[in-house]
Amino acid sequence: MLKISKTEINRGILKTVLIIFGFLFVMVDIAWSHPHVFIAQNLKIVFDEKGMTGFNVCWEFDDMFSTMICDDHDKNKNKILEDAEVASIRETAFSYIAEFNYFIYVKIDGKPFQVKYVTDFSARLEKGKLIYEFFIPCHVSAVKNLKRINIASYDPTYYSAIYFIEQHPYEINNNGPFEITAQIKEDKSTSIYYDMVHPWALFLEFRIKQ
Amino acid sequence: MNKISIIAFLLCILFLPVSTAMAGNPFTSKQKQQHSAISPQGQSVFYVTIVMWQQKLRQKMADLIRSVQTTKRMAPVFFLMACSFAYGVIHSAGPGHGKAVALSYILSCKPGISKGLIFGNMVALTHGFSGILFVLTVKFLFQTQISGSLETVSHITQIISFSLICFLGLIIFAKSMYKWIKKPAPSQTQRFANPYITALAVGIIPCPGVVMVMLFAISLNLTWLGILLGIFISIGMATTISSIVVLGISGKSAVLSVTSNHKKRFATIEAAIETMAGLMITGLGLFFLLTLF
Repeated sequence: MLKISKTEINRGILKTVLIIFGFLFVMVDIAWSHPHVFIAQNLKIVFDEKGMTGFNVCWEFDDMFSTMICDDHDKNKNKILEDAEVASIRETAFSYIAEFNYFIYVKIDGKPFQVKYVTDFSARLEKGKLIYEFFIPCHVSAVKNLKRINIASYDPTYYSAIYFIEQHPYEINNNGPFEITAQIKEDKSTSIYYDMVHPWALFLEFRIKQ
Repeated sequence: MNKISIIAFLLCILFLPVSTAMAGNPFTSKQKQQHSAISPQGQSVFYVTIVMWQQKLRQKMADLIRSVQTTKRMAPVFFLMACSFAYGVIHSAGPGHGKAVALSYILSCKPGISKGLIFGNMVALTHGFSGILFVLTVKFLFQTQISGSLETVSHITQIISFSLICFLGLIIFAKSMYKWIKKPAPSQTQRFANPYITALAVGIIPCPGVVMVMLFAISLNLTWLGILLGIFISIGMATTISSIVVLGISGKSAVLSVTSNHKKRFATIEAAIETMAGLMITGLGLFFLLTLF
């Protein structure tokens, strides 16, 4: 029969406790900013006769954040956001994220593209959920060689979690003579949330039809 | 093995991860640009899973709260309490909730398991209850905008909290330096700073998770349910934070027990842990404070 000494048992316990303790230290962080807002996203990529002109972003917020924002901005409580209320939302519940590229991080052939402004912002309520839509102008002319566009959406402050909707996460509005392929996958070249997570991104490739 | 354990433990303290993300709601408040994408260093399925579970639980809770309002039945309330508890447990398992400060504090003193439990529970309950109190005050007393007020209150409480944390760290550091210099008798070194004030300092910032759940319930005229769920979320958070604090105490005891046969080495290691914990708390407090200005 195998005999284990008391010292060996103690060392075993000590090792286990240290491993747990070490793990906890690695996992521990001091931020108060873990996700409090959940956003379901889909993208609509728009092309004209020259190439890509930009993309439309649609965000659907979770019920609780939607309630908080509507409680503050839907002044007449009619569950419809009128123009003045949308303007108020844009000013105090959207424009601040310009500091963070509007949470949209674009790379064109591997080089970062800064999202400095958006157009056509709108906000509405659908079944109690708040929906933002806006367009990001990003002109990329199509040529014979493949153009590679990578669009990742994430909140670097970790206050919001943004994810693509399962059905039809993106649409492509192609009115030109282009070959286009697109897929959604993890962007392994970028790390977020304390370097722990790779964001999901839309990988788009296009060129003039050969 | 012993030396390796001690070195690993000390390195763990030294490399306690520090993040710049002390953010409020980025949608409703102007913040400093803090981000630059960096090369990957690792990946955690744990984080992704936590986020997914939180999202699913929040959705489930929203559906159940609506169900309570429409059916006027109490049956979903029990399931809601369970969901809220689970949400609290998972919510505080991810980054945040002052766990690093709480752990550093625990390393700096000698609380038993029971005091550690009280401390951990108080950190989480203060964090949750301040969220409940915030909503009730702003919504019913001042009747003003929640999102803007949450940012203002969070900012003020963060300044208070981080100043207190910084001050506490300095006291712990000063005490440990006194020990190095004067080498007092063991009976004099047993005392430690008031854990209740520390818990208040760490947990005083209102929990936005509790705030949002409460607001949702109130929007459906279910204020009582909002308070109830806020309490259960707080209890869930208390469970996680207390577990971590207790494991922290066990880890410290395990390391110290390695050297328990060598009184001098024991005292040196213990004093070193306390000094580093004091420095860590001061550093964290100061760092947090600077991110606010």
